Amino acid sequence: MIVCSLNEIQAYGQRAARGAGMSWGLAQEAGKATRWLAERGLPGVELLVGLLTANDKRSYASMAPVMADGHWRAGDGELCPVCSGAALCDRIDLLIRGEQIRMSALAYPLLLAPFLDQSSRSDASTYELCWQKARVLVCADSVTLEGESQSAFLVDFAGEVTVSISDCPEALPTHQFRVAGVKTSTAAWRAMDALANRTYVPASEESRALGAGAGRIDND
Amino acid sequence: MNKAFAVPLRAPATVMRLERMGSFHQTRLSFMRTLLRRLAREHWSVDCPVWRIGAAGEGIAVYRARGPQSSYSLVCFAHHLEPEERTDRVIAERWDSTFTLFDGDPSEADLTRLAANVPLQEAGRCSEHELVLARANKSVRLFEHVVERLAEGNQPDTDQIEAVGYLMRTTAVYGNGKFGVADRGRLVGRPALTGPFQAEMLTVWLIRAFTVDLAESLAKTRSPNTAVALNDNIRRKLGVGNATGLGMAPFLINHPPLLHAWMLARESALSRVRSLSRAAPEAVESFSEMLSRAKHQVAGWRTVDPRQQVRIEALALDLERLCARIAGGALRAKAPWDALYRWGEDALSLEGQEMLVSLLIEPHGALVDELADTMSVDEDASFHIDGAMSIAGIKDLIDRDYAWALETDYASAETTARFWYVSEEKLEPRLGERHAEPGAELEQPFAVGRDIAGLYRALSAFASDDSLASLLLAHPEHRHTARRIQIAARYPYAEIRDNLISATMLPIDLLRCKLSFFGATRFDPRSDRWVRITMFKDAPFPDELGEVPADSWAFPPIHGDGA
Repeated sequence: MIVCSLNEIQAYGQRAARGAGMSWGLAQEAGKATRWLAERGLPGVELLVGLLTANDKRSYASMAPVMADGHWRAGDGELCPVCSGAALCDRIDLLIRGEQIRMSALAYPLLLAPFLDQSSRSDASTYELCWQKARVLVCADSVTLEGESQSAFLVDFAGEVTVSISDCPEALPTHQFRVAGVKTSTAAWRAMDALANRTYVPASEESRALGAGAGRIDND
Repeated sequence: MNKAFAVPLRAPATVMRLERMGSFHQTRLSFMRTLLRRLAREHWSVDCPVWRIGAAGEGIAVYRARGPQSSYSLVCFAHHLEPEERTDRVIAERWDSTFTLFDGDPSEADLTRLAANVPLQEAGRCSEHELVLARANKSVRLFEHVVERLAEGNQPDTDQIEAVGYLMRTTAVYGNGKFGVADRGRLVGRPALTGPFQAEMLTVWLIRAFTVDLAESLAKTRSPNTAVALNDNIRRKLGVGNATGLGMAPFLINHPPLLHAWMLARESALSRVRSLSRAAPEAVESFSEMLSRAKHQVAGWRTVDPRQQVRIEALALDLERLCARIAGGALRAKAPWDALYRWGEDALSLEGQEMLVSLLIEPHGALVDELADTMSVDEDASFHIDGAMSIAGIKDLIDRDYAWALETDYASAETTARFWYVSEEKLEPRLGERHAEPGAELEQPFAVGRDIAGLYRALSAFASDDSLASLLLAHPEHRHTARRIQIAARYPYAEIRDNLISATMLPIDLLRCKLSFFGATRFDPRSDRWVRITMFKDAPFPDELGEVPADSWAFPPIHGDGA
């Protein structure tokens, strides 16, 4: 177990997503989503690492949504929740108009929840995500998980997920969010670090001299 | 009412240029000054509950700052360092001293844990109870001189003190979650540290006290019968040095809403002053006093950098011109501050113009100090992309806010000469030569102008009433750029309007801008990509916070009497 700050989780989440091949903008979304989950006591790092490992080297076109009449599926294989989440955020007006979106074969569905939070912050709506035996409500910073067990939310795959706006009759409980010190599994952190490592440029003597432009010893 | 008209804010196209940002000086709104004003106002006290520094100058010390709500402790570790190990580079592995700012009062168990981690810096691990991690190296020459003189019972040579300006220089000050320290969120509800970089500034201010106490303690050890303490007026001339390189450069690019907030506060302060219809007598008096202090300060500004030396000389002439202008009655006119500023636009160098901005703001604390509270932002609030925006809408925003980016031809080697990357060795930002070094495929997303031009080209494949959402679904590579455009649309000072990968771009301009917001002085560039500065020089020490004016030190009194 390693204790991480939220800032580290976001920064390394972004780097890892970039290292696994996502565009910078999507990698930013991935980092943000991971932090959002970790802040709420959910295993964001573990979920992201699972996703990035499974999707390593897959093309964007194969895992991004192809949309037809409110039904989203991947170009080929499983749908990526980061690509889908970003696309959903960009089309939140569909949900606001009352449409329901069905996603088929979605990997790591809980990673979709943070994207709904982004929207609910701006329009104060409550959004609902449902799959198998799980229901997730997201409303302006709060998240409610309803289901049989924790494992129902942490699945790596859902055959069908529905996303819609919810009436949310009663006020959702407000959560006390963590402000620091997120316990993270060492294995997941190492895996994330390894993916992040792909974004770094190895040093050479030449780049050391050129890249930072300073001398070696400062005894003045 | 002394406010007859409103002078608009300076245009982003004027302000957000690297050359100008690289000419900024500290102002009343700088973070060191905000901190010390608060500490004095709230009667903070500082004590030193732990001092276990041995005869060799190694050991541990704790400085505790206590305010009305909370206390914070600087835990200091003093080490022995061989000369060949002393480097200001971030790649160093050992330092003269290492520090952490602990949230509250550390127990013995905390000190034991910190002793096993803080001296290792990045290679150790901090917890959410620590707010800042830092280290510093001695200015060997001056440190030894001061210890030697004090041990003999004499005061150090003030020329040497002025020439260097500090006993130690920090080579990194990390906060906000880095290496396991607390996220900024932990500070919510604690007004003393919620402003930008307040925890970091408090750390550096306490480090300054430690550096002097360490020198005095070593003098005492060396010669217990003759050693004396540093004279208060000489002591105040010592700040903390800092060596800052490319690690800091991407910050302003990575935090556009925050950059906007800082700039907006500074520009609003200037606009408020320029809008005054007449100059109050006490403001005129204060302005003249600060102007003569500034002249004295500039005369003592040393640099080894030929380019900066030329600029300092021009600045000194600028200040002479400004004095002549004032003597000629410039402040007796109507709307005198505005007239003076507009005169400066034509008459002064950029260094001089921006020094004039600082001087104009200086006598007007009652009018502008509240703006310091507007310099923090919730960056989450601007992360969301409005995908419903039309292609025509995005095109309009680019035409309006990014004309500067579209004017550049990114096909030439010169305009794309550099690439920003993160080095594997120390996980620090670096600048590479695109056409001479490997690694450009791992470029960081700081080529803002080029990326804007790329997105602009991509727009042509879409109908003008298509949505941004459809473009981003097809082209995720433009997503980070679309986000910037929408942020810049709301926050006009969010974007630096220069090509950040050009062969002629000077990273020290980015550093200078950020460091001026910290409140740094005596910029001494050591190359085009790292700079030495001084922090808290002439400021009160913790034991004189209530006795010495807490906020007149940035333009220090000429005779060093604290008046």
